[in-house]
This record gives sequence, C-alpha cells and structure tokens, in this order.
Amino acid sequence: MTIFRDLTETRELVDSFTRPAETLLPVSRLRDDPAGEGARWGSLAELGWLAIGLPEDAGGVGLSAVEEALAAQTFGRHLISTDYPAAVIAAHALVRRGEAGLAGEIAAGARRAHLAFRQRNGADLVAIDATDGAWLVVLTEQGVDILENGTATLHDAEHWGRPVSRIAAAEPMWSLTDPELAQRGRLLVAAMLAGIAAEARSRAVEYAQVREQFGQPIGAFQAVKHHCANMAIAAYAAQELVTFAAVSLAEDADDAAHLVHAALNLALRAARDNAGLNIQVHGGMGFSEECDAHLFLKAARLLDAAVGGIGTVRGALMRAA
Amino acid sequence: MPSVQAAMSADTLEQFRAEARAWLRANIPTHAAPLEGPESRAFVLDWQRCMYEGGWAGLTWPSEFGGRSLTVAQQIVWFEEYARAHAPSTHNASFVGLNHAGPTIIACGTDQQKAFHLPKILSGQAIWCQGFSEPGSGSDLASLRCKGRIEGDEIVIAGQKIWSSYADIADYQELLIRTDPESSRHKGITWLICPMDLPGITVRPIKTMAGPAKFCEVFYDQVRVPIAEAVVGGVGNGWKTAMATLGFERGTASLALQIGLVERIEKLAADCTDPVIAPRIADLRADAAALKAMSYSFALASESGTPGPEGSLIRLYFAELAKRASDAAVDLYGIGAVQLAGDHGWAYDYLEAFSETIAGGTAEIQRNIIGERVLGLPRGKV
Repeated sequence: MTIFRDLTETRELVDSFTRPAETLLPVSRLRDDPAGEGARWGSLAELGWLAIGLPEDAGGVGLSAVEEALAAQTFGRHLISTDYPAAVIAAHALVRRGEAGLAGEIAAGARRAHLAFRQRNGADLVAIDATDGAWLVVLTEQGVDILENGTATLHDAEHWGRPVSRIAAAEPMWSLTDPELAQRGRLLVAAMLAGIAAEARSRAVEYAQVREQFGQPIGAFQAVKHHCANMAIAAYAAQELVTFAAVSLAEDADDAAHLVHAALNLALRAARDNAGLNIQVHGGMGFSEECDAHLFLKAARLLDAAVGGIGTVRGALMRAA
Repeated sequence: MPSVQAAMSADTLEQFRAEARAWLRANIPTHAAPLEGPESRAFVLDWQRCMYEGGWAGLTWPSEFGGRSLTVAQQIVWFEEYARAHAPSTHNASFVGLNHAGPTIIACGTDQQKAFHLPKILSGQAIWCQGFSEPGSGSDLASLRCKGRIEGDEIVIAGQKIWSSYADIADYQELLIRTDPESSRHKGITWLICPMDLPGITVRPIKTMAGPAKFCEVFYDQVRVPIAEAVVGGVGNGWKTAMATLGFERGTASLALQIGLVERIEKLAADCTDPVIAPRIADLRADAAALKAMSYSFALASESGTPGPEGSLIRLYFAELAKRASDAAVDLYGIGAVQLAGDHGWAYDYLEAFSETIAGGTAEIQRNIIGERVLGLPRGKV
C-alpha cells in the first residue's frame, strides 16, 4: 500500500524552525574546532532540535519521523556533529525504556551522548567526538547499545578529521532491541547524508558560476556542467527517497524497513559522490585544506563508517522484504 | 498532525486498487505483445478497446473528453497494479496518441478536432505516430527543415522525417513542419495532424538494433492537407504547441514506465542469489526506490500546478537506471536472460534500453538542460 501525503506545510514548518542553523552552524566553524559542537550544544537543545520527534510528555516537540528527517537534512548540510544523531537516538531509546526523565535530560542538552561504531573485528569500538565521559551510542542491526565511556576525555586518534577514541570491547550498560528504533537511527543518518549531498551540489554550482577560465565561467563548459547535473540528480534522489522513507516509517507501513535501507544506501553514495565532485569542480583550491570542500567528503565517510560501511547497508537492503 | 493531509482517504484508494486488480486479472492478454507489423497494430488496438470498454482508458484525461479525470494518487495505484499484473507495456503503438497527440489536441485543438480524434484514440480505433526528428535535426529539433507550402486553404508538405515509431502501422501522425520558408529556429513552425494514407507519403520501416522494425523514415512528396482540419494551435505556432506535448512527456505520462521499471528491479532483487552480483542489485534496488519517491512526489506536485523543472532530472535518472538494470539482469540471468522475466526477456530489454539515453533528447542534452534551466549555469560561447 502506498501512502500519499502533501508535505508542503510540513516542509515550511521544518524550514522555519531550522533556519537558525545558518548563523549557529556555519561550516567555517569546523576550521578551528573540529570536535563536537562545544558550547553551541546548549543553543541547539534550546531550539528544540534534539527533541523534534520526542513525545511531548518527555519534554519533546511531539512531531514525527518525517519532521525529524527533514530537519536532519538541514543539519547535515551544516555538517552537524555525530553527537546529534547520538542524542536523538539515545533519547528515543530512553523513552521506549520508560525513562522519560533521562530522555528529557538528553533533549535539554544537560546529558550528552556520542556516536560510536564497532570495528570490523566486531570487538573494538570507535567513539566519535567523545571528548568527555558521556554515554556512547552504538546503532545495531535491530536496535541500540548504550555504553559508558570509561576512557573519559581520552581521544587518541583522528578519523576523517574528527577526534576519535578507540575503546576495547566492553559490555553495554544496556541494550534495546527495537527494529523501529534502529530504522529511525538509520533514517537520521541517511537524512544527514542527503543534506551533505545537497550542500556539496550547491557549493559546486555556486563556484562554477563565478570561477572563470578561458574567458567564461567554468560552469559554461559542458564537462563541468554535466558534473553539476549529476550532482543535482544524486542530491534530489537522496532527498526525495529519505522523505519517502520517513513517511513510510511514520505510518508504520509494510515497506518502511526496505525504504529506510534503500535511503541509507542511496544517500551514502550520493554524499560521497557529490563531495568528491565538489572537490573536482573547485580544482586546485578544492584539494587545499583552506577550502571547505574536503569537510563534506570526510563527514560523509565518517557517517559511512558509523553505519558499518556500504557493504553492510547493501546486505541489509537485499535481506529486507 | 496538522501540517500533513492525506491526498485522498486511504480506504477509497485501496478500494480502487482492489477494483483495478480484479479487472486486470480477468482481462490482461494471455499472450505476449507482437513487436512489429500488422500483428502489433491489432494487438495494441484490441487491448486499448478492451480497457476502454472496461472503463480503464484515458485515466489521466479530463472527463469532458472521455477520460476519467482520476487523481494522481489513483493513477499511481492503477499503474502499480498494471505493472504487478504484467499487463502489456504502455510504451507501445498507443503511446503517442494517448500521451502526446491526444493531450496536445486537448490543450490546443479546435472543437472539431477534439470531437473527431479524441474518441478514436481512447477507444482503440486509431494509432498515432510522431513526425518530429529529421535526418539533420535530432537533438537540435528547432533546426527542422521539412517544408509546408501554404496554397489557399491547404498546406503542401515536402520533405522527410525519421525515427517515427510505428509510422508503418499508424493512421495519423503529429507532424512538425516549417511553413514559413524565411524563418529559422523556433519561429515559422507548424504542428499538424497528417493522415498516413494520403497520396505522396512513403514509409520505410527501419529495424532497430534490438530487432523489430519499430521506427521508420517517412517521405512526403507534395502531400496536401486542409489547414482547418490539420493545423493545431495555429499556423506558425507549432513550437509552442509541441512544447505542450514534450512537457507532458516529461510529466506524469512516464509514471507507467517508471513504475514498471521499479517492479522489474524488485523481481531482479528477489531472484538474485549470486553474492558477486548482489551489491550491484542492492544499489539498483535503492535507486528504484528513489525513482518511485521522485516520480510520485513530482506527479503529486504537478497535480496542483505546472510541473517543475525536476521532471528533467527524473527523466534522465529513469533512462540511466533502465540501462543499468538491464545490464545487471543480463549478468545475473546469464544465458537464461532470453527466457526469464518480461514479455521478451531481459536480453531484448538490454538492447532496447540503449534508446533510453537517446530518444526524446540525448542524455547529454538533458544534462545541459538540467545545468542551464534547473541550476542556472551559463550557456557556453558557441
């Protein structure tokens, strides 16, 4: 059964409450401080951004997975820290465990959580931006694991430009098996990736309009124009599929799992491809650290790692009904 | 949730789905569609007549012209069921009449043209072909040179058209000719209805690389048509008239084909047990889901206004996905590709798919259009 919804008003609503991202989360902030959102976190929480889909009795805004996914696309464009999906997933998990109080603390920004993923060997954890002793959130195939970050402030490595901590195998503080929650988490990541794909497109197009070579803007050359067209298609496909999957998930439709896995697969490819093409369109400047183009590629790769890599996502999609 | 509204009650839609499914199950032809010649003409007209008599013709057409004025959501449901039932491809000899010529006559035709032609198209009494491309005018359609000399109340056509699918079995052709010899490019072109049995018309079928002699060259040697009956949208106004048709082609007319492709990719995914090919099929499955998301959202948005420029993105996405899907299918099924899936097997689809990134504007032209009209990039110096 296919669900048909007019999302015009929903989009307007989400656009209005995520607009402060323009000033609060300029991508340039990452040049000086790549770790987390630091002092900005309180502001994000105050704006209600950590609690969009959380029920009102847990201190949330009470909207659905659709608004959550649309907002996450905007935050993805601004390369929000992976602390963002960690907080949202942890808060949802707590509500489902009947711990609305703790969920409210996360939503209010008083309690922090960081995203972590298991390495290929299945044992070691890699925690992202985990610069304090806050909880670690690991998205699993059927739900979520929550761990204590025993290593506290220790971040001993860097992965895709972000501080990471490697943590030896540890038992979760608690686990929640809840396939719908796992889908919600994957959808959130897919939405952020779709945002990355869209922003990389916009930046490439903008540059192709102003950068001149051989006496005309480089966007007038078909070779460059066609790169931009490909980026536009990839971003549009990823954004539309993320939204389509969100509607299905919000309605608890039969095809929700299939569509969420598909959205994550597509968004992973769109984000890395568009980020790569954005670097290419920027030429020599694109390869320099002074240009922000590399940040989009690295953010896409980090989210890729956080969901177990595209191979895992392809496997899950082939198993989905 | 206040901000979200269902386009139509889910129950009403599901009831409509059940009706569509039941009718299709009872009525779809049991043998495969012939690909060329008089047999294909008979097959297509029979099937169209069958849908007409069952009340399933012209779902997208306004009711005042014999259509059913269905909502876009209902059209989608119909095409979903149509694909699921493996009903005959809509990309057949009825396509131009139902999706180009008919809608153009609805938009720009006279009352007499509407009364004469529209019922014939809907009820399976006439087949239409398209006469737009010429040997010297492919992607650059506005350079067309086929001439129409105005003599009193007649136009005398002289010249040549090419890639005119089903011209050998068609009753009418939607034809673009240059009626003002002094004009160039988009000016001085006229869109007209040309009966295919007129003296002076010669049709030469051309075999495609996929096998059937599906498209044709058409030669016009002093072919006379009456202006009042033939011209649609006014003499010299043909480019504008043609654009109405092309806009339709890139809008909801493609829904059936898009949904059909999604259905076939789902079948591929279900059949795939080869771990080497599985990652490719997984990506195709994701891309198919995106095609569905984009085309549904675009069609629903078109319902409440003019289609946005996203249509050109979807069109290209579809074309390239169709090619990659049939490529993967041939690899997956191997030697069995001939026997498995679809009316004529994936090997046929694989060859046929090469036309997807050429017909109706090559992929390269589509990318220029996306770059310039959607993204606002400058045109290059010529």
